[in-house]
Amino acid sequence: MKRILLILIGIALLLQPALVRAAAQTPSGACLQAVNKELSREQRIYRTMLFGFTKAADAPLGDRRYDKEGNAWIKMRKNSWRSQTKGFGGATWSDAQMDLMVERDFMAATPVRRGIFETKKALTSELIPPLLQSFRAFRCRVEAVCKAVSLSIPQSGSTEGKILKVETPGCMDFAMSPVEACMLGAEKDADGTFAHKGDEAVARTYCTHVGQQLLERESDVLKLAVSYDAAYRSLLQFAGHFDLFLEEFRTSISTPIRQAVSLLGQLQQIPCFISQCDE
Amino acid sequence: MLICSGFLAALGASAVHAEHFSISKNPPASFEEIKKVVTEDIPKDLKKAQCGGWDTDQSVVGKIPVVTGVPGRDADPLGNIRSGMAKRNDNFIFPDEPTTKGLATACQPNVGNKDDPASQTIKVLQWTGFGPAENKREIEVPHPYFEDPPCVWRAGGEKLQPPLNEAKCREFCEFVNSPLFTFWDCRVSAPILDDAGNVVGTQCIQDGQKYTCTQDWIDLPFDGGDPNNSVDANLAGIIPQLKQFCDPNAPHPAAGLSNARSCRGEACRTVEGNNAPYMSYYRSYEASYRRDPVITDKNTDIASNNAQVACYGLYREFDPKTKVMEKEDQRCVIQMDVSQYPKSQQGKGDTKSDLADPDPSGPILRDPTFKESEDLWYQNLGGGMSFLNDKVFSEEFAKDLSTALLTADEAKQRAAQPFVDPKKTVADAALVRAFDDTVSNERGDKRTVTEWWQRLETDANRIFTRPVVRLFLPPAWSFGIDALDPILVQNANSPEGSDPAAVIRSDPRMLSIEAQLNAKEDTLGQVAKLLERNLLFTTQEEIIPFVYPLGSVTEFRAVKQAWITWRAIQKGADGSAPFPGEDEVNALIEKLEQYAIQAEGVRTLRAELPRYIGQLTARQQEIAAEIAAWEEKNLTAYRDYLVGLKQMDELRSTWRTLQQKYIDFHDKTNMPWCKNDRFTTSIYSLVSLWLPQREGQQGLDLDSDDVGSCEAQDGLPRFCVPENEKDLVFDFTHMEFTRAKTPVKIPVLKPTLVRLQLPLPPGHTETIQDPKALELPDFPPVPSIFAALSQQPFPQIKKPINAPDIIEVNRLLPSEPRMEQWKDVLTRATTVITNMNEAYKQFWDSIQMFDPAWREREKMPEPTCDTEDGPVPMQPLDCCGFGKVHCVHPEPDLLERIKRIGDRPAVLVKEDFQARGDPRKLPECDPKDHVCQTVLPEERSQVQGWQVQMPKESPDAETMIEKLRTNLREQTLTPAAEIRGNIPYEESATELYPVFDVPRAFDLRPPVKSSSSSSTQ
Repeated sequence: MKRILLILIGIALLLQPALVRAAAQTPSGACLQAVNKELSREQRIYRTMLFGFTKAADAPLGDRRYDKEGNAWIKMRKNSWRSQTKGFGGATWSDAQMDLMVERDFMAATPVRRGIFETKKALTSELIPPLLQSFRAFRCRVEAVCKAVSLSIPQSGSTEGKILKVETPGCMDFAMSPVEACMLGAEKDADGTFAHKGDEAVARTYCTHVGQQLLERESDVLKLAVSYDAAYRSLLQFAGHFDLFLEEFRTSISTPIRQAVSLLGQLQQIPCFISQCDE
Repeated sequence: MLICSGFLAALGASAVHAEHFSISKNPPASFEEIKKVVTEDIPKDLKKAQCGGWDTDQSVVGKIPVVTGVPGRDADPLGNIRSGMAKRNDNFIFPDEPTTKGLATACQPNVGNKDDPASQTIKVLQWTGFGPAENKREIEVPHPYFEDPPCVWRAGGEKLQPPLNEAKCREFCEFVNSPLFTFWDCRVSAPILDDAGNVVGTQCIQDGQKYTCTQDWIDLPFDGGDPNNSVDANLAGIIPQLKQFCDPNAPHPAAGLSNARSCRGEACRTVEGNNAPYMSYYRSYEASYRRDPVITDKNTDIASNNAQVACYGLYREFDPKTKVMEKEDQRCVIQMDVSQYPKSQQGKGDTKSDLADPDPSGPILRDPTFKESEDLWYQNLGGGMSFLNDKVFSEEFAKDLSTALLTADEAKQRAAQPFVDPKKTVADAALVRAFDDTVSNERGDKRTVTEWWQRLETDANRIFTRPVVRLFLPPAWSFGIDALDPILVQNANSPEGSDPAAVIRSDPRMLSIEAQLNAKEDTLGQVAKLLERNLLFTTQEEIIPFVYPLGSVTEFRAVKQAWITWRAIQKGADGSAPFPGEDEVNALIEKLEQYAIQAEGVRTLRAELPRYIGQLTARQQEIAAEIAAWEEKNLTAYRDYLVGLKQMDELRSTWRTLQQKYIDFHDKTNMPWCKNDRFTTSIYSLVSLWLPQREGQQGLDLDSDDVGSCEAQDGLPRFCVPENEKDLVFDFTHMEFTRAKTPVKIPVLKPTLVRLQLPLPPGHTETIQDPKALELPDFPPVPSIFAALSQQPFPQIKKPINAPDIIEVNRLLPSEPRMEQWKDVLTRATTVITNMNEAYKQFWDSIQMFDPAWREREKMPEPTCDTEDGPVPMQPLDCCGFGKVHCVHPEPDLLERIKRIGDRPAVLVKEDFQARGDPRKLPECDPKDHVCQTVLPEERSQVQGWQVQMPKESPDAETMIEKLRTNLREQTLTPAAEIRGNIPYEESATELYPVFDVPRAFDLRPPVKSSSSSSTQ
């Protein structure tokens, strides 16, 4: 009896992921996936602001990058990037190709940059303004993505030539193309309402919900990173001062000391003719 | 033995030498202290001195005493200047009348047996009784028995009690001259004629007495009695006349050879043929010496004096230079009034101005171009220090010490080269020479005992200065050692006095970086601990990410059970119905069971890290064990070394005692009052009693320091000095601990467990659509990195070819036979010096012991002579016995001895400075003039020290960490970035890529420039 119960519970647990898979079939599921993709891209780009982004040739083995469509590529060998996304199964990209195809901030000329935390010869206090600015930009982007999604939902048809003007409070205006997977407009019922209210509800609420969580998490991570950075730079500063001291004084003090040392050894053997030295 | 230097030791009025002036042992706390010592204490001490100093305007010519009235040999004072003694004139001088008087006898000593009076006879010739008086025959007559010295012998072999004196000698003369020792003889005989004129007999018509010993007629008138009767002579009348012979002061009777009589002048010098048959047995001399007085600050120099000398015993003449004096030769007493000398011979010369023996090198000027307005450092005060120039310091540097220190003066080592010419390594000035009583004309300026002692000092310094083992450590802050490690924190307790410099000194980073191993017992152990502590590796973690299936045994078995149930249903009640895909289902069930078994295998991953760390620790232990082995070997040897040092301490104290005895000889024994013995004549008899002979040498061996080898047991002893000794230096200054730079990377596995997607059975009524989907691959093996790691090179300790040696104890310590030889040498040398002291003390005490003031100072009793009836008081001219009490002077060098007593005061005059030695020529240390302190050569074993070397990595090759990462990545992903082996992970391959991402490390250090003045503000 117990065993059957366990089995049943086990089956019940097993079935849970199946639910998610089932959701992948629904339209809102595809939109959710698209939202995930966009948000993760924004988060990755934000992280490159903080920590920098190197050229593909300088990346270590095992590094993963995403191309403009959001597909994941992994560097298995030198100069060889592979992906198992459908359609790229057999393809190998070289470093140059990867540099060309890697996802990037659409406002930046090149994806390769030095991270804010990589700045040398700066105190952490000086890094705070750029860090905050990056975070604000990130927040704007996330909100823009969500706005774009909600603007795309009533749309239908192809995305050719369509440009949305996304305005979010406190940020500059973005011109973005609609999110294809979230164009649920085609699913409209005959009466003009959406066939699947559920899908629409999900699609509308999901992005803001996830976006909020993402921003919270990233702000906590940023706090942690800044405190670590502050501690490390203070240590470096002290070590730097001490190295300076050692360098400046090394020759002028250690040379006489070394000479004095060899002198000391000889002093005890200098002839001494007073009776005290007979001790 | 006399040593003179620029200043002589101070003598108190009581002729007990004062303490040597010494400076306090504590280093001075301020310049004022130094000033006080130099300008006050030393001059005060010098003022107290009673003699010393110099006066180069005076010459020594005429100031060496000229002695008359005693036998001996004279000399030319300046004939052998460099030897410090006079050039002896070998011609023996014997003083003539009227100052020399004495008594001589013709009788022979030791005739017959002392206890048997009947044997004490000699044969003499007497008239036979017939014929002419010239017919003699031998008869036996009594003869006085006596031994040397004769004065105390009387009739019948009776010996009187000592002491000998002139009265007893006179009595002996009278005793020997008594009628007992005369015999009848006939001078003239005549034949008795009968009436026929025929000779019928002979009769003596004139008889007389003859002296027994000389067989000479007693030719003074006396009542002879019947000439034919030999026994009826009344000799009472001649006794006063015979007595008259015995007065040394009375004029000498011209004729008459009595048995004993007085002698005068040369007649008392009864050597071969001279004044035969007499032998002088008592002589008295009137000696005197005269010289020019020496001008001192007191001008109380007594420059002339008289003395009475009495010598007892049969006269013997010999040359003390060739014949070793024995106790029997010490027969004379000297009576001279020297009670004033301790006060009168005081007097100083110059002690400050106009140096007679200046240092020719001149003062040191390290920086002749010093300008007070420009230069910060003043270097001209001595050879080892630089002083801040206050003017420049205040004006230009605003009294800022840190900037002043940055323009530090180079403290070149100069203390061992206190000369202007850096090529010179030894002093030019040669000291005025020491000298002793072994100087002789034939040997030039060789002074045996001085040279022997100087060589002994040099050798003793060598053997008592053991080789040193030194350890050089690099400065703490230069290579990452902990600066507060106890070995580098020395002298935590600062010495007394609040010295602001002590604060700096106690900062371990500023301390001397040399630890001498002979300073502390435990230093070697500390060194080893230091090395061990600092060879610990630092570690750095490197993440090795990989993916592994999350496997729960329960889950696999649950799925398997689900399939089994489904299969059973499909197969029907009897289990025999086939269904499509049955084989695949069976295979699946098998696989699931395998999964269940192998899923637990992931736990072995927990052991990976401890295994690797264990290996690393084992390697580190090997390094520590190597150091421990080195330490162990050396500690044992070092402990033995320390034990041996203690034995040396005992020898050292013996040596110090001996040195003190030597100093006491110079300052006390041979300095009864201020005097300068230079240019007097050598008194060889003073040397005879203690200078050891070399084997096979006859006579006085003045060269007894020329022993063949140091092992010789004859002659003056010499140390066997070990050769080939060296100081050892362990030089660790190039030691590198690379721990601070390259830590050891420890790979740590970071597994990400991903669930598997297992196929579940369809509904009971459904069939398997695609049997191929049921294929499960084999469970992936547990990845292990340990095997790959064990082949990696580990950091290891690299010992260069010349690794630090064990301290070889044999090199540092003398072996046992050497210690024995040194002990033996010290014993023999102590004997020599002790006896030397005794001999000279005997000499000086003998002329002072009748001075009550001296007896009171020295706490000595009145001089007495031991007799059978107890001690008997003595007079100055008495002799208690040969070599006893004050009867200690041999006769042949009385002249030299009186000359020595009459020495000039202790002020160095012009010629004293000409008796100097040669400057030293390297590398010898000539014992003629120099006592040297030698320095051992240094052997620096090992310059590189130990190095802990991290395995070298070539910049292009993949590091071990990278290889491990790739290894484990490819256990999950194929090179085409697919999931290897089709393991049914729930995530797709692309979703697994983030697992393998390792964050990049930033280097925030600015690029290093040589002189970066940029601020980091």
